[in-house]
Amino acid sequence: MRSQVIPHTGLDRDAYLVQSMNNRIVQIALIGDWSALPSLPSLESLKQQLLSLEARQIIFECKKLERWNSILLVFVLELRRLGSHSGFEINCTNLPQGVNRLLRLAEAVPENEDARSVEREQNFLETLGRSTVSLWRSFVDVLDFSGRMVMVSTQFINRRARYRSVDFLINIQEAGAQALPIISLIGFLMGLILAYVGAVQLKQFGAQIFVADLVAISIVREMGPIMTAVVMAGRTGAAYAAQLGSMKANQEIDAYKTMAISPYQFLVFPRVLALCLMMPLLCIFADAIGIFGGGVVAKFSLGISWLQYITQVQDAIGLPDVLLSLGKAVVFGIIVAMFGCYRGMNSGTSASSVGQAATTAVVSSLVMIVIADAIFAVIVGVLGI
Amino acid sequence: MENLDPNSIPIRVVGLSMAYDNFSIARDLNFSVKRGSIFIVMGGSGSGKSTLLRHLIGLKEPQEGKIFYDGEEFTCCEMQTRKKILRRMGILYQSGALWSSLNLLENISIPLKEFTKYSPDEVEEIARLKLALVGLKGFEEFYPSQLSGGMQKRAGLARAMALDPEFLFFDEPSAGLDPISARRLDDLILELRDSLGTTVVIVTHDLESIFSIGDDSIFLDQVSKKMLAQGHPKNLRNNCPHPLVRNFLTRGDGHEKAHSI
Repeated sequence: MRSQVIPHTGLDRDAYLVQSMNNRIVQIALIGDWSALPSLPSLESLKQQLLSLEARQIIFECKKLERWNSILLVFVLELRRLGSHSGFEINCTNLPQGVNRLLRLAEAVPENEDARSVEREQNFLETLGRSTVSLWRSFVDVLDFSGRMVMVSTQFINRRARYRSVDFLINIQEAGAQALPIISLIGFLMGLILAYVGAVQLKQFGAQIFVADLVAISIVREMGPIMTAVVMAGRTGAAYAAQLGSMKANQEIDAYKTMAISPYQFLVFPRVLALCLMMPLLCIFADAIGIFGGGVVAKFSLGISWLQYITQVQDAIGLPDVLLSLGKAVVFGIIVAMFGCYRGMNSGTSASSVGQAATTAVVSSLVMIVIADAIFAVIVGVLGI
Repeated sequence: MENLDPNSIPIRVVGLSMAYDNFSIARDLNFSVKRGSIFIVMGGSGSGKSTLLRHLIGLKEPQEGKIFYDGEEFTCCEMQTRKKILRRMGILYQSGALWSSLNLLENISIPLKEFTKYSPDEVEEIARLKLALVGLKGFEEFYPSQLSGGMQKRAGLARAMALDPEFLFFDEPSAGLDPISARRLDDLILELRDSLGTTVVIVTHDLESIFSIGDDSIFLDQVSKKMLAQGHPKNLRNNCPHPLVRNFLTRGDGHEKAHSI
């Protein structure tokens, strides 16, 4: 028997030996502990060897093989794939019995070609088209949701909306009283920051007293409503989306629907109403705390007395400013509550989609708040309020 | 059966085709459910059993076809008719789907408060009774998250029974239950049917339950997207001409092996 031993070279030199037998049969002797191999032995060099030997059939020899795991199965399957391209066949009879059994099991069920075709590559136009369609769909969804909310509101006005008043009160508490600490902190710091920034500039003209105007006007007209809305979007809007999303995942929303109880009346409406009622209250509170924060800077950094500060504030802002603040708060409240609930009601049913619903609820609320504020700015400018 | 007055058939499905977007689940299903029977919807995973249930309880609109309850069309009917039919149904979801922010008593009271004119005291009494019926006496103040899976299912059943429905739907009632709890649930279903005459529709692939409580059944097939057989489960096991159905009902023993598991 003509035999020629070609030692395999490479990092894993001990994994196997290739040996050419007669009749273009090549024997691969598997050696050692295959379960301890750090990686799959390189197939490229093996392929070159097999091609140079003009192999027709490959047999295995496993006397020195100690232990094996899935890496050996992958190795054999790769060899087989190589063989079908390069025209040699693999004879597995000498492999351990377990390997043969697992190979048979892996090939028992033919590949499901439908499952593969899903991950087709998309070209630019297709992606563009698909995202346009999904954008349009989500626009329609938002319209649908808003329409439902209008319907529920009219039902509420006609006293036909059904919801648990306890739910409503709990939501009032969560969106109102429990938000006070963070709203106070943010409001106070906003007033403080504005006062410091203003003080540095106004000192140059000796016009320190106007820090009161600066703080009062910017807090009441802009920062108060905006910061309250931002905090509530992160706090309550996200909570709404997560609550409704996980209720959807747990089929609780389905349970309401099949009991002929509208989840929009029962779950969404109390939340939206609670936030719409609480936002103006929180906002006016934030305004007051913000002005107080500015006063602290005026008193201790600029030496303006409390009385002077308050008088100056009274001159700077009037009822229209406060009403503008409240109006903005109501609109922002509707935006935050609607997007929170909308994202929750339209979330998927997996754990990750609930998280996604909470995230997108906050993002779209923030975007819409800024857009709405810009619209307010234009209207106020035109009307000259 | 088919010659009878169609109004006396409690549930009738005519030419129902189901699809998610453009992906077809099943085509042209026709069957009816007899009053007071325990009707099993069976089939392998992905054959559209649960989707069929979602159609029957109105959570999904059919692509084509109609569903009738006592001769009244349920699909795309007016809100009022729909509500009337929904009120006659009780549904036990796979996970129980109890409202997590409410305790058990409140969970069961909500449908009663919404749809009956009983006083709050009477509502509470009825809710307590339903909980006692499913063996959860003493758990009234518990929240769903404090209960085991089997208890959540039983509480879900108590809620489904709250309005004494004519039709009870079960989505995989024995999934996630140990053999004894599953058996108890089966006994409870039988008891309900016998004492109240409820028509029960169960989606399941649990053979034990299928044979021990099923009166009538249909088999859905994932590959052909059709309903392959209807009949008493034991009958189907012994005499069904379809090897797939026999194979399913015998766990693949003693018959030619089908490749789609």
